[in-house]
Amino acid sequence: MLAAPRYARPFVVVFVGMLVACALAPLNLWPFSSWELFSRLRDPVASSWVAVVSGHDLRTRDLAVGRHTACDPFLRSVTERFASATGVRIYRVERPLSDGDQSHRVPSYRALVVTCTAKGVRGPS
Amino acid sequence: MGRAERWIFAPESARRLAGVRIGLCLLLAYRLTARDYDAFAARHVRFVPHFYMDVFAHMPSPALASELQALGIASALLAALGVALRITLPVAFSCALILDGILNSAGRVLVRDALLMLCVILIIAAGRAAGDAWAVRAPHRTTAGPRYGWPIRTAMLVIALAYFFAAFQKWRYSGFAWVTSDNLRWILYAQPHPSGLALFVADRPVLAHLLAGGTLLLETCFPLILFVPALRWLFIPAVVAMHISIQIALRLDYSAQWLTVVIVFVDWPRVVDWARRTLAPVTAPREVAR
Repeated sequence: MLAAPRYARPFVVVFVGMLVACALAPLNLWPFSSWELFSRLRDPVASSWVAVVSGHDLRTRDLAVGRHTACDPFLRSVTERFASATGVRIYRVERPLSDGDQSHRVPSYRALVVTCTAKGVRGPS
Repeated sequence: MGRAERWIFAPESARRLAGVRIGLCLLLAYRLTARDYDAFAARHVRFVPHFYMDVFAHMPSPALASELQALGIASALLAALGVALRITLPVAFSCALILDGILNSAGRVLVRDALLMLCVILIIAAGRAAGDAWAVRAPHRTTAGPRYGWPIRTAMLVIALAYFFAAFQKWRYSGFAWVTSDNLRWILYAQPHPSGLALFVADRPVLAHLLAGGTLLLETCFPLILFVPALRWLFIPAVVAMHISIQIALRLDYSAQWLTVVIVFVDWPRVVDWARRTLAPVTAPREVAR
């Protein structure tokens, strides 16, 4: 019978410890996930976030973004892609869900969350 | 603690570890072929570096994504064959880590391949033991021992904990309302273009509650399969069915996760021996001349 290598025991302790710590903290140190997918209750409104890029000689563009998109790195990557971009406005889009009854359909609406420009970050006025 | 240690370091055969190595490497190669990473890198302007992706100043270029994809697939296939495991496995893992990092750095972190990657880490940690059988130029050892058991059993523990923690977070953030509220119905209705199955379930509140309850029960009790092996016949088909239903209803591809569960929990040498016995030609008894 061939024995386990000497490093195996401490390795298993650290590896499983990382898995448990990331779940309890919770931390998403991928592939050590926090396993939080679908864990929070949904309500009849689907929220999403969109960024609207503005600038000289630039047609307004909508980009889907995450809830916690940070202004500075996002604005940097946008100006790398669109040289004439001067700013980005991030909106929360709320879409009331239909329960299958077409007569209950309500249009979605947008609320400005933040405006990111080279001069700084502004909240909704 | 001693009992847990004895369970993790129980002996397994070299062939069983090799079977898990081959399965996980082929699955990794398949996952790398199944996605268009260069198009994804080209399409996504915004780069929200997730965790280790901080080493990149911006989204890796489509050309780099293509090169990593080709290298990753080739390395994973060579690792499945058992060739130069100490090089091919870490290379395949590193390529997949960066390519998954590209997907995870577009604003949403995807759980999908996490379990596969965690199990691949364990095969890398197994070292040469993973190539002691069913490998090109391998010594074809038929031995057994804790040397082959601990990576498999740690992978089983990791899978059990992953499902348990998925349930734990539901209890933590939502409690029993995850089952009793209309949560699952709103998840299904929330898609831009709900599938037929999604609407079938969402339009029937009782069915939605039953499925939510079944999911929470299955995930909470999943670690029992470590202690009661007979439950594997019930729980593993149940999680496979759950993930396939999610794929049809929500269009979320969790094939990497359920295939990892199957690869780790199936006793491949027993399957191969059974297949050999079943498929081997039966020699007809000859009449001996007098």
